Amino acid sequence: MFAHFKSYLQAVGAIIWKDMAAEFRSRELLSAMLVFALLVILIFNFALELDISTRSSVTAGVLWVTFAFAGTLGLNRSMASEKDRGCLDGLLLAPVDRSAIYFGKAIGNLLFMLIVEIIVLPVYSVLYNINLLQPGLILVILLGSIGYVSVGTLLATMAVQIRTRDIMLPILLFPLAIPVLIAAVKASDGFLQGFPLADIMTWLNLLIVYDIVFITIAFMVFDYVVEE
Amino acid sequence: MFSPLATADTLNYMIAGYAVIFGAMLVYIVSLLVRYSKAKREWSEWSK
Amino acid sequence: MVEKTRLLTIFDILTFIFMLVAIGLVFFYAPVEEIMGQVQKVFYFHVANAWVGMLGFTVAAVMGGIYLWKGERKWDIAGFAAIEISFVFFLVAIISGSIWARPAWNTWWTWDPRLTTASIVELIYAAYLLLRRGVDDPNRRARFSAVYAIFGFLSVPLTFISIRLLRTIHPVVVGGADPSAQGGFNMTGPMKATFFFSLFAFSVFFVDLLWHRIRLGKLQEKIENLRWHKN
Repeated sequence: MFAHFKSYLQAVGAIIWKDMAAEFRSRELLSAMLVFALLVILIFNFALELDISTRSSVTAGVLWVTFAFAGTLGLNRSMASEKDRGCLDGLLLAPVDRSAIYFGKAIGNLLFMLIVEIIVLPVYSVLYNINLLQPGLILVILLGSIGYVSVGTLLATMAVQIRTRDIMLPILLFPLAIPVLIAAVKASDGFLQGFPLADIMTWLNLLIVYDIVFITIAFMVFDYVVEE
Repeated sequence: MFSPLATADTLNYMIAGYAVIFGAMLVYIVSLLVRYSKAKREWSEWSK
Repeated sequence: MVEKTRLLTIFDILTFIFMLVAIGLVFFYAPVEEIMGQVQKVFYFHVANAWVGMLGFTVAAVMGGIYLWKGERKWDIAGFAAIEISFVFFLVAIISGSIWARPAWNTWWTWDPRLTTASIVELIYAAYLLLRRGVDDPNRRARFSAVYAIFGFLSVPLTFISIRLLRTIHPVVVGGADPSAQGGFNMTGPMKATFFFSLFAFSVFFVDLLWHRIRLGKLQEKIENLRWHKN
């Protein structure tokens, strides 16, 4: 029983390692996500009047829109390379529970998203003279990214097998990710504006509930999405 | 049906609302009929 | 060849009768509301459409679950039928609601929780339909549709709650109208009767349409199988 669990973890770890190693060799995905995120922030600078008075109220929103779009990019590319290089078939032949693939890919996607976020935060802080390196905000980013990536990985696995591959993921993902985005923005905003923790708890709870519910369902249905 | 003492004359809006409701229902039912007869035709062609 | 069963014909007639009665109740029995006037009557069928829209989503999610469990195509056909019909009905609900809102609240749209959630649900339906368009293999299409229907359905409560919390904690003033107004009128006895009968009539209508749509789907599947075998 324990040996089975150990090999499961090893499979998950192997998938994560494969993705990380491949990425560090080429760094295509991360650089694309990062540049994209910075461009989005740049566009927001012109689209919204980010002067000092309005800045604090819109920062949370701007950040999460950026993360959502960059995240979609990462999700798409991550699963697409899997399919194109035929790695998916290889993974499916391995004698391990299919859900290991889900967790491996999801954690990998999460790491990519977190790396981008960790870089964007100080850059945004410098550009707009606002301190974003707060533990509360980092917690929200973690919880929100987990929720986003857990649904996104599953949907990306489907999207990549559809003709209109690139446009399909946002269409499928965004309506389902609304609770995450709302809760993440409100919680982030709460921490940035210095609201009492009691007020922010509602949003954090919502994030946690969403994360648990959707990771569970994704885990249960993943098999049906990769069957060949 | 038409109360002459109605406070607001919103008859036009009601007509518009019901036009949308019945119109859409009708369009959908017709689409079902059209698709069904098309399928019947295809079926008889393919089973020859 | 799927012959139209006697039962279905009877059901068609029943549906027609019920709908006719509902229309009669709305226009000849229910009183005209004092403040809003005639447009309030749109409410009866507006809510009935919305109710059916959500009912269809539930049906589709359940069908999806059963399909994943049993793998028989008929569940997929049923799920697709349910979503397609719900898409139409819910769209009608949203538009008719907007037409009702204009004279009642002096605005075509508000971002209140129900309406916002409704638009998100409609977008989920649209995404479902696009998803189906993009997959050619019938089995894969069925599996993906089932998964998305389940995911979509389960996201709705969380979406509604999050938007509700959003609007309650930070009240939003929209165009002068109170976004949480429940239509702002009290229902008298005849109104309530008309309202509930409309819900009933539309539920029957939904089942009738679903039956017909499933019939269409089964015929289409038979053609696809035939085509596949002949090629």
